Amino acid sequence: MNLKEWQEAFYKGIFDPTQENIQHACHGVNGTENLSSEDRLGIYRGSILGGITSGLTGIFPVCEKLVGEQYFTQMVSGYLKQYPSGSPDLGNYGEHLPAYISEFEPAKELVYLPDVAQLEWLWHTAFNATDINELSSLPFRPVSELAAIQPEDQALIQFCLNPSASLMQSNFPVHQIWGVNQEDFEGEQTVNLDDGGVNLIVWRSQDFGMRIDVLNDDELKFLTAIQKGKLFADIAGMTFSLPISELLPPYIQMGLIAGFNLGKQ
Amino acid sequence: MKDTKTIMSTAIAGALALGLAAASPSALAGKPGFEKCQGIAKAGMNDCGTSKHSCAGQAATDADAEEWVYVPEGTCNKIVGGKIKGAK
Repeated sequence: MNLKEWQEAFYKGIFDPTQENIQHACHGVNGTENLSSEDRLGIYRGSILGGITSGLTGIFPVCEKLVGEQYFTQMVSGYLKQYPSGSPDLGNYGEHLPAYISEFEPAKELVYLPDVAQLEWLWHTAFNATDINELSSLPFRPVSELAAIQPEDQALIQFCLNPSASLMQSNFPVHQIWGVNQEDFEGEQTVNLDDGGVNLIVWRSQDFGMRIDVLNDDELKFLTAIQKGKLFADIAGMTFSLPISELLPPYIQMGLIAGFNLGKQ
Repeated sequence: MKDTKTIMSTAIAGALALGLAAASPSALAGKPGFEKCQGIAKAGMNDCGTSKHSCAGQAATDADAEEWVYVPEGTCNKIVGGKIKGAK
């Protein structure tokens, strides 16, 4: 076996441990007096799976709490096979867990679970997003420079959301499910799915830390247009129930809209 | 209908008038939703072994799901309503 073949065999021996794959992988593993090569591979596998599982538990604590530790662990072991990690950093692993859960037959009745996982992933990515002040070069001009933009150029403004921000929609009150499963939550623990869906933005503010904000349909439409890089002239031509002069300023003030670029006509 | 130029200049003037850097929490008080602060970094994300799983212990149970019955045992029993109407 060359190195690549042996690495592949070893990988299968860890993540797809059929008897055949294990034996194949064990060709490159020495046994000792007290531990066979299979035992040693098994210990290594246990350590790898344990590490990844606890990494995912750290990113998706509410999902784990909802279904229980055993269920979550078993579910994750299927995810590992279907969506191997592509990054050396465990903190980057888990993006596709919401998609996996939505296809996961035993969780079909837990209709809200994929969206809870999605919310947790967005929380995780916002939490770890680089602080704007730490970026070596800003991908946009700071909002303070808005004052310097001539009226005839305002049409070309493309506002930029705080880089940590992600929008999501759910047919279920996932923000409530998330909330009642936080350790410091006090109050009514029951969530009624019939309360209906929700639009959310998950982001980390410079001043106020992690935030999950509930958006009405207009706010979602407005922020989605901004996220897509629409020119201010196009946004100003859209119809909202509130005037733009009331929609825009609070988002700039709270830092959700963190900057802008000037687009082309 | 107001022309878009007026809409834009009014909105930007409004934003500048509010003051950009001086955002205060009270200005957000009318905002729906809730705020959740998290002051600590998540620890141990890149650790191989953890206090929860001893290496050998995890290996002994070898997480293979073939015969495992999935019964959720967490807080999901607190979520009610919205039942999918199954086949009779």
